[in-house]
Amino acid sequence: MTGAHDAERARQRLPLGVLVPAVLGLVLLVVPLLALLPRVDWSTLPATLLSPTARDAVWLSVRTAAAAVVCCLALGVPLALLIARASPRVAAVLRAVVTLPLVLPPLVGGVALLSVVGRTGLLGGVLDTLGVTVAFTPWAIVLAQTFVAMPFLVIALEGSLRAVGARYEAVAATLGARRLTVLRRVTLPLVAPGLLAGVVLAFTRAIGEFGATALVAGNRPGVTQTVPMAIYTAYNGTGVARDTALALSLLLVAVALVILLLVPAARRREAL
Amino acid sequence: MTAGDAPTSLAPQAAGEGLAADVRLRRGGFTLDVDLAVPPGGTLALLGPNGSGKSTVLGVLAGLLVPDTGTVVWRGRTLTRAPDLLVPPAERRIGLLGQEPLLFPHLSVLDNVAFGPRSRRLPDAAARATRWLERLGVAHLAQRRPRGLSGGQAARVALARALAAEPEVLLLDEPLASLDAVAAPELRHLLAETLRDAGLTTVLVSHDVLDAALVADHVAVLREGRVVEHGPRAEVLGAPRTEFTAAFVGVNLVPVGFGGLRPAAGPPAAAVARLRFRPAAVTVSEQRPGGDNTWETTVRWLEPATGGVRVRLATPGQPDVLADVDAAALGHLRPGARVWAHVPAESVQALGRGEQAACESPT
Repeated sequence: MTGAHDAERARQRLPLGVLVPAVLGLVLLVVPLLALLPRVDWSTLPATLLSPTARDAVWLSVRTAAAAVVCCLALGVPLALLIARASPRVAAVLRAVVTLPLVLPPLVGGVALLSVVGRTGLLGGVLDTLGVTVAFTPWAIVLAQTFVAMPFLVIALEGSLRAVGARYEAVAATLGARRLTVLRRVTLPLVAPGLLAGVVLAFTRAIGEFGATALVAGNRPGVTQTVPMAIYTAYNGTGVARDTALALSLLLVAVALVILLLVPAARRREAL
Repeated sequence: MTAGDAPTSLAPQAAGEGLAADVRLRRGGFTLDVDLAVPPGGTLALLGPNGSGKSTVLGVLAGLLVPDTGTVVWRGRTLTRAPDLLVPPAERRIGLLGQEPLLFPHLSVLDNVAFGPRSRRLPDAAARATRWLERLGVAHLAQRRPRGLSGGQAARVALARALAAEPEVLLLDEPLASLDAVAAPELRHLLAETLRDAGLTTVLVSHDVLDAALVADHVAVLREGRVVEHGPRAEVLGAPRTEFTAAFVGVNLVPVGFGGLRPAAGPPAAAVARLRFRPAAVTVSEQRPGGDNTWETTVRWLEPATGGVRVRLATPGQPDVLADVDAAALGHLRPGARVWAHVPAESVQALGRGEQAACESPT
């Protein structure tokens, strides 16, 4: 028994040429985040996080990110289904288009969004005559967050849909289930883990959104100043203090870490 | 059954009342071109090697695939008229049980079986599901998740689920293929029994002759997308008319003149086209035996057979011949060995030219 165990261990041991860069990579990713800790003034941390500026920013971020996730679900789930059921060639094109916001600098996304909903943008005139203003309002934040976060949800879900395949759906159909029933009772429950992963990634991405939001929503405290905006402002030395920047940064890191650690645990439990 | 009463295909009137598919479909380099029929309440076994198009036929019948041309008709109602799917799968009442059970992993066994009745909005879905689980001997698993079931249990639940949806036609796509040697025979008999009781019109796809022998009353043999033989079970399995089917069911079929073979009886010599004999009737020896019906040949390969060894004998320009020999009598038979084969005249059956094969009882 022990022998077999040792043999397994030996097989898993990696050569130094792999191990050393792997550890260096981990250091590169983790050390900057750990370096935040000694700079935080722990005695004033609660007060800093509860200050009106910080509170407003956190509350705005949570609300807009939640709204963005709802938008991502409403549009992204059908989009993922469309891609998963498209012919391979069409799917490849659609997937490339959906992935674009993920690889572009968010600033480019911001410029692009402004040229649609900005005053002189594609829909700016129409929106103006309707009396609707999107740019530089909280709606613009939701728009920017949805733009950058939806690819995460669509890609994660599409992968799950492909892995599950059409076989269960075919069985459900031969058992008399119509298309919407199949979707509701078979397809979506089967991809629930992928959907959950997609939602989590989309939420964490939305709550950390900065570049696109900065351009399309601006940075008005209490109106469009999300947590990342508040951090940026604080670091630039106008408005909130540098302590706030560190405290809010720590908060974002902690929230993201907790979510990323909880999701695999939830998925494991579901698998049992 | 006599030579005259069985046409090569089912009578047209029977086809009109039952399930009939006359379809063509191309997928890449593969072409399916079949004309099949099952009378109401009948069971058709669709035999053929992997890739012959058996599962594709089931997909077309179930409405999961649309053929390029042709129609699928059930009891006079046209379900598919290419390129249109007139009736979607959910409204066909044609159940499909595949190689894998494909139980919905997120539902309990009971909810899996109740899925069909619920989808069809039948009253008392759970009670119906329970009845089917009881009938198939797996009621004690009702609250379990599919994940923990053995292969045999899952296959039973899948069968219960297919039947609980109250299909009029049941398509079985090698439902025993994924089962082990213990579970498969058990389920084979359960399946045969259940199908008999349910009185469903059934199409069973298999590459196993035993499945066909046990449950089917008609057999169609598929090869490279085409039906090479289609008729009553006894006829197709007991007296194959094509080399392909013969090889498939393990019977030798050779052209007249092969090895100087002569049958003991049969039609006049001029009318004889082919000769048929069983592998067990062939004896193989390293020295030339005396008498007629003996020819020289080469051992191509050996494979295991029930109670002995099956020897495949290759003769240039002729179909291979199978011979079953005792393992003890194997001697120096090795691939490539020159040997003599012999079949007694009374074991050779003559097949007339172009006409229906003289039938014998299946074994």
